[in-house]
Order: sequence, then structure tokens, then C-alpha cells
Amino acid sequence: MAGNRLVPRYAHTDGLTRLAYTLDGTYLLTVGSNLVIRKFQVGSDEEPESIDNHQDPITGIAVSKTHFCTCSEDATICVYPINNSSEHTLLARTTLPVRDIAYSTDGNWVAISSDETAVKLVNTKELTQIHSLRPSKTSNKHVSFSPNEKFLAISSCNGILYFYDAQSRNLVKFLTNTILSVEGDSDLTSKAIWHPFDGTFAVADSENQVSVISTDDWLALYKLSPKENYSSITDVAWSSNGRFLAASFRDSGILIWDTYSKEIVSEHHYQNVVSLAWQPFANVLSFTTNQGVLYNCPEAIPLSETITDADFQNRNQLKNGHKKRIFLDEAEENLYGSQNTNDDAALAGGITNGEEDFGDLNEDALGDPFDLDGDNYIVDDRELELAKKRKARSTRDQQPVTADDATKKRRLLHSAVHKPVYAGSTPWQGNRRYLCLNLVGFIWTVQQDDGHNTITVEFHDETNHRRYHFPDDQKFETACLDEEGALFSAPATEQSPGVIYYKPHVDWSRRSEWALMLPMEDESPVSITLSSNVIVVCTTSGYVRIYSRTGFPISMYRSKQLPFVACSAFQDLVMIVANGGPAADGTPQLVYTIEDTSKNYVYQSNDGLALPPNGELQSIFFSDVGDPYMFDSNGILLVLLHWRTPGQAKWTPVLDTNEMERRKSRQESYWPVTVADNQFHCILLKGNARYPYFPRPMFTEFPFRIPCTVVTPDAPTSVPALEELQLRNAILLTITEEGIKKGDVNEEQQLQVTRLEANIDKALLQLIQKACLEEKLERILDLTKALRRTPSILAAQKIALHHSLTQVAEKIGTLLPAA
Amino acid sequence: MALPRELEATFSPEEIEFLAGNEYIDIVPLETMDQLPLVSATIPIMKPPRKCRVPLWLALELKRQHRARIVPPEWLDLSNLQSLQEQEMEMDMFSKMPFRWLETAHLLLNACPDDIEDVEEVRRILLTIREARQSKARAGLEAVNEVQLALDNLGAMEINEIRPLFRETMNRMRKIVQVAEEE
Repeated sequence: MAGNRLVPRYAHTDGLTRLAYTLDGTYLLTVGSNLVIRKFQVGSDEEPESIDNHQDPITGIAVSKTHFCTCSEDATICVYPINNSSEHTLLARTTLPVRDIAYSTDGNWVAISSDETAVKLVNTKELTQIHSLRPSKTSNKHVSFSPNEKFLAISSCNGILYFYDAQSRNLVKFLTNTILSVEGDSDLTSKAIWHPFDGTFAVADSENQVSVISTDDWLALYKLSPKENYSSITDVAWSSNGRFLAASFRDSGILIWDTYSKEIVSEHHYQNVVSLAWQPFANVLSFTTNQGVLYNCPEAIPLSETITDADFQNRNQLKNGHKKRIFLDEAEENLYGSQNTNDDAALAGGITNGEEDFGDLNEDALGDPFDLDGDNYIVDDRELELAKKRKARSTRDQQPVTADDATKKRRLLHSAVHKPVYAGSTPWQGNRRYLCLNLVGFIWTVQQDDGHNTITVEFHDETNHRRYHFPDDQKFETACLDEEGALFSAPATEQSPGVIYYKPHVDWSRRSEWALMLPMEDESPVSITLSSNVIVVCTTSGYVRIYSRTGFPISMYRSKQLPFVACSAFQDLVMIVANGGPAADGTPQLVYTIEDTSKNYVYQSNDGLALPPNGELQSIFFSDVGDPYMFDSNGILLVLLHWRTPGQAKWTPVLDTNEMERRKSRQESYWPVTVADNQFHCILLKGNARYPYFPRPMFTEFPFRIPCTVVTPDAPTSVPALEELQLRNAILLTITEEGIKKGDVNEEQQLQVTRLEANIDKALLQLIQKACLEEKLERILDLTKALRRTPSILAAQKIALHHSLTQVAEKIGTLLPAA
Repeated sequence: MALPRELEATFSPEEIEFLAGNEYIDIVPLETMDQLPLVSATIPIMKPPRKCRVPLWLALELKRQHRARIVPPEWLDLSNLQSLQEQEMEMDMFSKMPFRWLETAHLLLNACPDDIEDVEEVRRILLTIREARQSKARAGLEAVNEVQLALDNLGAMEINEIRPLFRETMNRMRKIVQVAEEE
């Protein structure tokens, strides 16, 4: 299972670092600011060979079949044979630092762009044959030859792309308004990156999108847009099968698009990536950062039914250009069956623009070799229309199809299944990950080199329990922690069935830890949870299995809705969340069931879980008093009210983390942990971090604030603040009242109820006071009707009389209960 | 009782640090502890992993015993210090630092460097700020006259340092002016 752990290789020191694979994929060459060239053997972890030659930082590298050449700020270009890298020959000198070089496809010519205004073409066999091209009066940043040997593209620092015919060296075309105007030593890219075989090229354009332009008409075929906040493109690279396009963004990371669907299929978050290279014929992306670090990312694109390894190995099949795939049939089963919390990008595509242009129309589309189910919904009329549109187009802007249409089509057929949600767990970071983080403590696992993991269980409160760790051969995937013990689960493998393992913290009888195997074949646990009374396991076979804490089965049933998303438990209550089928607009819908295992009573059965539009569930848990809370991907915390009565449950927002004051001044996100004491406990994540990292992070608590009125900072007695206060207390009162078991009120709960009622009334009275000042008579009456206690109604009457509003005071009098 | 010579004119740095110990700071306790009613303050119940607000002296003691972790105060954070440093460099006046910044920072950096992010960078920046302020104080002292000396936003330790100098200077200047007026 490919995780997100990439081991960096330290290739060079800080500064621009570039890399290139040899054409046969055996070596990876990197160059950088510490003046050496490193030659890594692909597939091995051996130390790379270092070649020391230049006097100044090396700025570019190009490869041909037998040689590679490097250029540097010391204004020299050297050529080395690939197999014997200690020899080198000086190819040419310039007067100013060289920025980029490129080999022609036959390896006979090298194009050199430097800070001079001329681009030199040097013949590698006869070094005296030199041609100079002078496209502009500014220096030139990039050069590239097209693979079909027709064009030489030069990116000048004035923001214009020049195309020369490679044979005759005549200027064929120049494009303005396409690339950015960048300085020669900038890390942003303005290079024309040629497609491996079909004569198109990709450029990073001035709007941070990647435009793919065809050399037939020099117009953009389509543009690939990155997600929000992704800007400053530093490099673009085509995969060797011509289907995937990767682009790196200076501050945000790498995005990979599938150019058939124009969707983002993968994203990797790394800072300061400056150079990308795909390994020839493999799903491996290597990239370097401007700290001189090299990363090799295997399985850069998560595999699925439509994207397989064969895609990468067999480039010949795709020679027919872009296949037009209007609807991709993504395998929904893949998303479910993988249980892969590591897939944080998966196939949640972004909105892409320029949908009208689908590339070269092609008769072979119907006979597409990868369309295993023959599900290519290509309607002929549509194709015809598109072809007409394309031909009639002159220089119109690439207006996107309205984003809604595009997303709707997309959503109809994929992303209709919600991934499982593991509250308190993170994906792999390096070789570690958290399995469970809550108010009791946390469990994390470290991958050791020889195949097993080590699991450590630590507690926040070290008085009662000591932390411990143990080696784990079964590679537990999920865990749950509470005051008494810890629960672990591992998926089924070929050799062993799914395992559940429980380990109590305090072992007074020495044998209380136990493990059980799931009985059915290939049954793996999807989510597990434990509470003070029960242990719940939801499995891939669709069963909900409930066990006691000592391991004997209490009940089991098959869930009416699948696949499972999450489960949570509190004392005897169990809540199971599952997928409920796509909504009307294609987004996944979730349903939940709450039952009491001891009374065998189902409170809510397959009631809807209220997700926001286009949002996802991030966490779901019970609070410390047993009320269900959920945290969604939009940053809103909601509580379930009236859940004890079937059909009455409502999800009410109690905190919107986006409108909090502190959010405005800094970039933060909040990773939910739980709700306790009517406060939201979470972990503050600074900047772009998405998951808490090691060592142990600190929790912060936020009180609730219902997002019902506009936020007014520093004005606790303003009208909106009071309105929110009374609503918040009303909701808290509902929660408290419902939590009281019928006929069994204890003193503390009674006190709480009274206190909350008093708070509501206090806020309402203050609002009444303000309304009296403005003589809003109707409002005064309305507010009075909302008061909870009789003495408050009397007080309201007094306030009205104080402001001489006798009419209202009389009406209030009628509201008093018969004395 | 007579004070030793060096303490007659001003406090010693250790005394200033001691006084700073009364400021409140947040900690994350590692053990549950009951309420502690003391004379000056009541220490609230400590329940991990919730934060707790205690006086600095207690926080340092608990940290020493490995029974709590200290949450650095808001102003002791890298980005905040960097902007303060810039302000310090640009302005002639002193930038607005918390009153007991020097002694609190000193105590925290010694007791809990592992609880502070980028602690080396923070140390460097604090040193730079301290030096900048010291040179400004030196320059500002030249403006002393017998009636007043106005230096806004000085920290407690910084005032303590220049106290002997301006006390003595102002006394003498006052005497001189007195004599001059009599004539």
C-alpha cells in the first residue's frame, strides 16, 4: 500500500535544483547549486555517483540517448557520456550565465539559452558548427525541441514564446500573452513542455493554469486549472504515456491531472518544488525542491481500474492522441474496498475549465483498448457539434462551461461513495501515523525496517496509567482508546483473517487481553469503536458485530446500508454511519443509526446525516455526556438534537470555525478531537498542515457560538450577540433536558437547567430593554413570549412600564399565568 | 537591616526575576491534581489534557518535576517576535514589549526550551531586540535633566539597569540647579 512517506535524498545544497532521467530510465541525474552532478541508479538506494566539474551553480541538464550535458552559471556547457561520466568535453562557452539547454531528438544538436540575447545551436559532432538565433532583445530562459523534430521552442524573458523550424531555423510563430515574463534566474517556469508524441505542448500560463496548445493552429486545446491557492507554477511534466500531466507549484505542492478527463487525479503537498521528472514507463514521479532535496514518489497516481500499471509501460497503444472520455467509469468498489486512509487525494477532482475542447476527434475512440466495459457514452451528434465548434473558433477566450454543469456531470458517476472516516486518526507521515487521538491519550505506530510496526500507547494523564509500547506483526490499521483499555484491528490478508485485539490498561487478572479473528472469509474490519460497555466492529461483509468488553459476542446484524463510513459508541449507545446512496445532485449521502444495545432499542434508523452541499464528513463522535456531534469538511460542528425520539432528530450547528476571530488573522485549520464540557476540543494546525504531527500536539478548547447572527467582536451586549446568546443557551438547555433520564433528576442537573433558563431569560431581557429603547412594540411582545420563567415576564413588564410603553405592558400582562 | 552595596541603589536581576514569577501563564498538566488554595491565589483543579492558568513560579516548579508542560505566552512566538524586531529596528522609540519580557523570556528559555518552537531562532531574535533597546536606552539617557527622564515602553529589567545611573545623575543635577538658582 503506497503511503505518503517519501524518503528525501539530499542531493544538493539550497538553490535551484534540476533533474532528468536518462531515456531508458536507468539513471536519474540531478544538478544543483553545490556544483556537482549526482547520478542515481534508479531502483536502488545506493549512494549516487558525483561528478564535479563546473565552477558555478549548475542550472540545467539535458539527456540524449548516449550523452547528457549540463550548463551552468559559469557560462560553460559540458557533455558527458552516460556510461562513463568521468569523461567530459566542453561543448561551448557563452559570455553570460546559461539558463537552459536541450538536445534535439536525434542528439545531434544542442540548443543553449542564456542571459545573452542569442540562443545558440551547437552541433554535437562538429563543435565548430554553431548557429545563433536572436528571437528578442531580452535574455532567454528556456529552450526545448519538439519530439517530432519539427520545432524549437524558445521562452524569452520578455514573456513571448518563439517557435523556430528545427531544420531551417526560421521563425515560424511567436505567442504573446501565453507565458509569464520571468527573470532568467527565477524558479517559475515559462518553458514549453512538449507532449511525448502528439505535437502539442503544455505551458504554465499567466493565470496559473496549464495550457495545452497544439502546433496546428497555435491555440489552446484546453486548460487545466489547479485548486484554489495554488499559484506560481515552477515546472510541468508529461508522463511518458502522454496521458498525465504533473505541475508543481511553488508553495503548495504538486498536482497531477489526467488529460483525458481533465481532472486532478493526485496531489502531493511539498514546499518549494522546482523541478519534476517522470520516470520513463513507470508511475513514478521524481521531483526536487529548492533546498536541494530529491524525492522519488512511487505510485504518484493512485491506481484504479482505469489507471493501471499497464498504462505506463505500454506507450505504443496511446499513439492515437487524446481519447475523448466524457464520462469516466470510475470503479466505486475501489474506493470502498481499499479502506485506504492514506488516499488523501484519491479521485476527488477539482473543477476544470475549457470543457468544450476535447482534443483530436478520433474514430478509434470507440475501440479504446482500456474501455473494458464498453461504457463510452459518446453520442455522435455531440461529437459533431464539438468538432464544428472547434473549427469555427478563432481567438475566443477559453470560457469554462459553467462550473455547476461540469461538477454535476462529474459527480453523477464518481465520488458518489463517501470514504470511511476515522476520527482521531491520521495518514502516514514519514513512517509514523496516529491511530487514535483523544482526551484520554493517543496511540501511534511507527514502521520499523524489518517489516513490523511498533505501537505506542501514551496517556495525557500519567498518574493513572503508564505509557507502553509493543511490537506489532499484524500491522494494526485502526485503534480506539478509552480509560480502561485499547482496541486494535487489522485487515484480512492472504495469510490471515481480520483481527480484533483488545488490551486493557490495568491487568489485574493477568489474562484480560484478548484477540479474535473475524469468522467469514476475507472479512476485514472497516471501523471499530469501544465504549465503557461494548465493542463494535463494522466489517467489509456488511456486518455490525457487537461484543462485550471481554470479547464474547452480544449481537450481530447486517446493516441495511453499505458501505460503512464510521461508527462511534457511548456506554450502551452505538451509532453507525453508512453511505445512503447519491443525493439528487450526485453527492454522496450518509445515513446513521443509533441504537441502545442493552435495551435492544433503535432510536434512529437510517436517518439522514446532514452534510453541507459538496461537503464531506470529517469526524463523528459522542460528547462526554452522550450526545452525537459531527464535524464536517467546511469546519462546522453540529450536534444532534432530539435524537431520542424517532423521526425528530435535527442536526444543529453549534460552532463555525470559519467565523472565529483568530481565524481571520492567521491561516489555521482545526482538527476535531471531541466535545467536553460544552466546549469543542481540537488541535490547531498552522498554515497548510492538515494533520497533527509528532511530537504530541496541544489541544485547544473553543466554546460554542451558534452561527445565527453576524459576528460582532468586542460587543457582548450588542443585539446580535445577545440574540446568539439566547439561542445558544436554548440549545444547551435542550441538550441538558433531554439528557436527564425521565423521573430521575439529580440536583446537579436541576441546577444546570435552572442556570441555563436564567441565562436565556437574562439575554432576552436585555434584548427587550434594547427593543424598548427603540419602541419596537411587536418585537417586545415576541421576545416576552420566548421567556421561560414567570418572574422574567414580570420583569419584562416592569421594563416596558419604565419606558412608558403601557400598551405593551398590558399585553404582557395577559401572558402571565392566571395568578 | 543594611543592604549590601550593590543592592542599595537598585534591585538585582535575580530579584526582578523573582518578582516576575507572579505573572500568570498557561500550562498543560501531565497529572491530575486537586485544587490548591494558597494565600495569594487558588490553583485550579488540573485535569490533563486541559490547559490550566497558574502563576509562573508554580509552572516552572511543575516543569522541573516533569509534571506539566508550559504553553509559551502569545508574545513569545516566532512571527510575533520577528515583527517586533522589525519595529525595534525601524523606530527610534522603544517598541511595545510586555513589561516583564526580558525576565520571563529568560526564565522560560532556561526552563522549557523544548516547549518553545524554533527556540534557537527565538533566542537570536530576543538577543537582537535586547541589544537594540540597550543602545537606545544609552542614547536616551543623554536627555536626562533634573526634573524628568521620559523613556516609554521600557521593560522592568531595563529600568532596573539604568536606575543607579539616572538616580544619581538626577540627584546631582538637582543640587547643581538648586545652587545655581540660589545665586
